[in-house]
Amino acid sequence: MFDSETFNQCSEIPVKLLDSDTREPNQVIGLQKSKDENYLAVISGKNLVMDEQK
Amino acid sequence: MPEFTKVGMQYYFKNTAEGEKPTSIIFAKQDQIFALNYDTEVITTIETFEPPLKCQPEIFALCENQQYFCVASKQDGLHGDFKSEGDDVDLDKLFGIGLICDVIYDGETKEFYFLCNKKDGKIGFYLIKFNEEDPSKFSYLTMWNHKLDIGDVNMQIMRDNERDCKELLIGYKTIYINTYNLVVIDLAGDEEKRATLFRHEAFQLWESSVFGMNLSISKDFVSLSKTGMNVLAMGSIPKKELKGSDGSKKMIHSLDSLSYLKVDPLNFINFKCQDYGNRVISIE
Repeated sequence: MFDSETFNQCSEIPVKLLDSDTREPNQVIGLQKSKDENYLAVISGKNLVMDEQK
Repeated sequence: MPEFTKVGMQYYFKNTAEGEKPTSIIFAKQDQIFALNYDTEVITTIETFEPPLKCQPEIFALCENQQYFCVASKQDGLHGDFKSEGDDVDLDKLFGIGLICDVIYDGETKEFYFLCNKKDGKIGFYLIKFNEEDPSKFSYLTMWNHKLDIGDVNMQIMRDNERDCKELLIGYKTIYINTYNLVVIDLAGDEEKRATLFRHEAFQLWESSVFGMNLSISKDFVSLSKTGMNVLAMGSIPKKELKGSDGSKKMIHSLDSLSYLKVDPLNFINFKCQDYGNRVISIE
């Protein structure tokens, strides 16, 4: 997480990515905050060819 | 979770009563929209598409009260109402469009903004807005038949209370000319007097992915790519100092600080910065 004023890193989101058994690496592919900004929904997965995500 | 396959990666926390903690997330996939309760891991289908979308949806936009939705893949788009039993509206048939790039919702005017790359078989930049309840109440904001594919589109609405303005920011990359473009469209005031305010073009290889976003506090528009981060100042502050990754100090001037160059309020300023050794600012 970065500060939008200074662009300095201010924190980290503790997401453990699974090991990949194919050539595409697992990465964070979705991020959404709740309306009250108290929760963050993070999804990890793979970006595949033809814009598919898994 | 077997149901959780080929799900679009635009999703939303389900609305709850004020003060209550959210418990579910709404997702869209090819044949349905569903809510996943992440405490109990129970999946509830909210809407089923008949026929389903042609491929995995990349775009999913919900209105503020989460009654109306737009879901789209590159090839087809649907608009629907969770509370109505009626059929969903096929947006690609309604507008005669294809290659859908992005959809966003504006809670103030209760409208969806819809950007696509193809209309009536012609490749270009087509921006449409339509009513959240009834997509047949629509209007074209931009119809630019430039015959170039566009990609990595990010649309956002920026509100700046200091300047009393509301602007639509559209960032996208363009094939062949290899640029990352930011288009700023005025959304405040009389509809007849609204115009494109700025265009900014910077070098961006088409084959490399890029992501752009507007930072709501600093009003900077940031684009992130393999080569690093590009910052464009959008707010009312004419200039501000930044420190580069190498420690060097840089002064960035906001696009708006050059608005005085406009001869007519309907002019827009085109910042042609593809070649860093030969930057051109043109009033068009």
